[in-house]
Amino acid sequence: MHTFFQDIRFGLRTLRKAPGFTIIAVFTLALGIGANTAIFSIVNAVLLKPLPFPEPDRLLFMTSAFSNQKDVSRPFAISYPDFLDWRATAKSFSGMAAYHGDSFTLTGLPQPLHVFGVTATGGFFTTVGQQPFLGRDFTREEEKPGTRVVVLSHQLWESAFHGDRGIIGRAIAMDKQSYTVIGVMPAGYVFPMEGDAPQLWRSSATDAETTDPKDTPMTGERGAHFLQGVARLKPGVALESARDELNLITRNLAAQYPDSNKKFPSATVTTELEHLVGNNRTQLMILLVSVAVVLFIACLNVANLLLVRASKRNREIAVRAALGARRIRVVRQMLTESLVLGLAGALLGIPLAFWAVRMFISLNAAHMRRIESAGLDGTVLAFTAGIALLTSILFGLVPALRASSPNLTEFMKEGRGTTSSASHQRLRGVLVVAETTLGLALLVVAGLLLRSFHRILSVDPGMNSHDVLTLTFDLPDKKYNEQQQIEFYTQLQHRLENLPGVSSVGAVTPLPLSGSGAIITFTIEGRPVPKADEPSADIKVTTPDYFHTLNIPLLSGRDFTERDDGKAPGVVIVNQAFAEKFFPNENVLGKHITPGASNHGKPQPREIIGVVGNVKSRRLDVEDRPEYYIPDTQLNFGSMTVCLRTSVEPHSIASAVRSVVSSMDPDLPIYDIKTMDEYLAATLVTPRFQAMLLEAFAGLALLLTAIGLYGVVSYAVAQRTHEIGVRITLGASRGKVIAMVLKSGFQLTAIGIAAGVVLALIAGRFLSSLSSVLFGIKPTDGFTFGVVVAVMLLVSLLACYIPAWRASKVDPMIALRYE
Amino acid sequence: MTNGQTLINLENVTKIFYTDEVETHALSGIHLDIKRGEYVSIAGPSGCGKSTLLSIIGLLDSPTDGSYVLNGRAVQGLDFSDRARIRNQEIGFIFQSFNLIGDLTVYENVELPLTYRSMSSPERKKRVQESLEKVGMAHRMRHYPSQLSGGQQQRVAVARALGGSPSILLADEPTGNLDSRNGEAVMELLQQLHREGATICMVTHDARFAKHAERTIHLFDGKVVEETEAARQAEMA
Repeated sequence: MHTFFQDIRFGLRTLRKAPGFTIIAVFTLALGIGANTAIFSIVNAVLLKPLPFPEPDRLLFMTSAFSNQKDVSRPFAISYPDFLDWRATAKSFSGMAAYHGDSFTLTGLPQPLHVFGVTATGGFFTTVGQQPFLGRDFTREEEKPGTRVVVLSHQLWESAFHGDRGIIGRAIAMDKQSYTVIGVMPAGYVFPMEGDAPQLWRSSATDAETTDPKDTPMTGERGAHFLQGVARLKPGVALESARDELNLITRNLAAQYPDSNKKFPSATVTTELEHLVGNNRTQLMILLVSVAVVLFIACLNVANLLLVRASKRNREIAVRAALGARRIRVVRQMLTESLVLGLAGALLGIPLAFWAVRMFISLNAAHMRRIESAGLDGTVLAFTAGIALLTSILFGLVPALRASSPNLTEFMKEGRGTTSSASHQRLRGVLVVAETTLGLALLVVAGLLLRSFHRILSVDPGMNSHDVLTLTFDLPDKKYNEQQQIEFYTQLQHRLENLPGVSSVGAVTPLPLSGSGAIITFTIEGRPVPKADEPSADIKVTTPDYFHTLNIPLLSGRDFTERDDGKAPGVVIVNQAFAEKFFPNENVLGKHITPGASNHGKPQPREIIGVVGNVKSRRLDVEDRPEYYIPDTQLNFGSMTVCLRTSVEPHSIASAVRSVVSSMDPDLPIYDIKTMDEYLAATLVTPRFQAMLLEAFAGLALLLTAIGLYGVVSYAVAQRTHEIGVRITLGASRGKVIAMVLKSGFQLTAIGIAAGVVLALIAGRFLSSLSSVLFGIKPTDGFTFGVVVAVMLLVSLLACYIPAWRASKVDPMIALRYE
Repeated sequence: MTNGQTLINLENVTKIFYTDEVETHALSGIHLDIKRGEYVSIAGPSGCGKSTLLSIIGLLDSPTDGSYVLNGRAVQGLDFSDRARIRNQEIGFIFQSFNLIGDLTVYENVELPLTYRSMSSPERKKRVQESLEKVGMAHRMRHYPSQLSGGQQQRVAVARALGGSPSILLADEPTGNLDSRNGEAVMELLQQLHREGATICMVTHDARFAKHAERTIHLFDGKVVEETEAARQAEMA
């Protein structure tokens, strides 16, 4: 141990005596270790940290699985009856609950308050594993019609109810009804964890009710899929067997209710953590591999520097060997010095990582779930220490092994121990080739992702998102019946159109690119199919002028008008993808479809009166989906988002819009006032984040590669000073000397580029096998490869030119005397 | 001073260097005995094989052929690791260019070979202090080599060689980098060590210093061409 500390002391001393080397090596390592620490802290926060609930591995997320005719299965929301059957039959779970997102308006407060909340079945909190801080969980009795109970979040309890511990059992006014508070959750409790943090949970009783006694409540609609499921696995039961059991129950339901369940023959059961962050896994793994490559390149660079240093320390090593140091002892001494460097790099890398993590979080703005909890905790610091140790071995071992066996005979003759300078130079060349290979591959991958991102940016969203302001508010059913809602929107539209700076107004639900969507089956007149085989498509409900406001082109037929009201014949407008899919080579106008949704009673056939252009409703990087539009006057589909096209900066009229809404109903809180451009930008955050980070890492790799190449060529020039002096004496021109040095550098670059292209092709093929990584671009994109190779050549030229120029300036008199 | 026991025995040692297709015979058929407590010098012109012979005696290199017995043990075929261990325990080196490590203090330089043994820290400290006192450098133990004169550096190198209580001190042109005054002082130091019982083998091309030894081996073209005893050397002088 004592000698270990001696080695450390000696290491520190020698590093202090070589400040140039130390600064470059430590800074290079700090960049690599810092980048790895930063990305790992995000991986740790997003993928690795357990959920903040008891036994999080047993907390499961459940959905139905939709299978289309191509036998492709994808997760799909659950219907109430399916959930109730699962809950009644399954034995693998100690608890099971269903929920869906909701929004509510609290009144009876100084200001009406819009809150995001959740409607959940009994036992919801017990299943998740967290009991209320005050009060109790929902019971199954409270799923029954007529029950009005809520649980408040800690934050809402404190802000709206001043932390009143006597709140339990008290009535609060919500959506014009009275609800009893039965619980308050502890501070920091968030479930479900996707989307906005819920501020209030309501029992599912309202879903068991209808306004019209002839209607079926949602709890009885097996075809209405809008629930998510949460379950807790019984101790000792494996996830696989629980999945098998639920699939068996679901298959039986499909056989029992083919009309509604034929397309839902299985269930999806994953851990809650996988559900939350599974989509980010690929993205984070790509980033993690990229920073690992950067770190590896940094290690190769430092190894190169150490080889140069080892050459200069030949005499010292030879003395040690002559005095009886065994090879392993010399290796240990040199590795200890590497460890000192690695730890110094880690110490400097930690603040860099801290800064980078803050930047990543602000860049991503919570589009990656759980990223906000990323930080430098014990796990991350242990990782940093681990990679500091690993990198120390990685960059220190080869130079240490090379230096540890000096030629002692030479030492006796020359007074200096020599390891083969030529073999050192060869090894350093190999390291630079490896750096170039990895750097080029990383640059290509980054280039592909950047090009892919630009392809996404160039996608036509099918509408003009510029200068459009949107706002949302909830019209409570208890205050506004269907007719009153229609009148409210009509009146609002007219008032908003009269505002200065507003050119047109429309409303829609769900709003494109907002993350919401609805799919409803329909039948086509003259094409009877069994109910289970009915086609489905995205549905939207709009006011007249919606298409005009968003500049969605009307390709044929006509737009909705105010005459298309509840008494008029049913109408529908479809998009081009709908027409092409369901009416190929036909004139779609005048055809009739019957959507499976109606205000009351049996759904009625609707005439297709127009065809509009396709709109990217979900994301820009997905195929156009068939959509159909129904006027709000003929189908009540809940609260709509109002869209205003403005001739001024959209946000500048937000307060005027608020005033108009408040003047019509002061109890309506407006939320989500955003421009369409902001919604569009939000869909680009993730690909932009990934492309930006990869570009940064690739730039870093390029810089390190250039430094490595510069170092090797510089050292080679220094070694060849005498030879260059002789050449100049014999008449070599400066140009010839420069060309000679450039050639030696380019030979390394050329080998590295060739190997890098091969590696990039392999990496590109792997990327293309991952879904949602590359969009509109081939992994063998010639342009990307061409630009990257050109950049690499240019940077190599610059890296080699400086030592080449220096070589051409060698004074032959001095060079020959030096020898 | 000798006690008659053979410490080093070389029998028919040859050393051939191969470079590309050229064979260089550095040593040919060397027979050499060095007794415990003896002071031997190896002399000869530049390129005659003196340093190669010292490398083989010091286990820095292996002979191409022949046998080498050190302290009763055949050592010609040992691997690098075993040679390092024996070198550390049996041999003390004194180099022409001192070969102190610039980043270590005087104390640490002398301690260095001892750290390559399993020796406790107090024991090392004791030995380092004794060695430095023996060469009169104990007052400079916190200094770095660059803060010392050439003569002082060579004294430290001698202390380093002595620290491990080696069986033999191998000195390679120990005065080659010193002025005459310092050279004489170092030679006096070696004499004193010899009087105290140390076995010394010194390579030198300077006849003035060779005469300090009891016996001088003359090399030429890799062969022993003559051996002279101290008395005869004095006569010749």
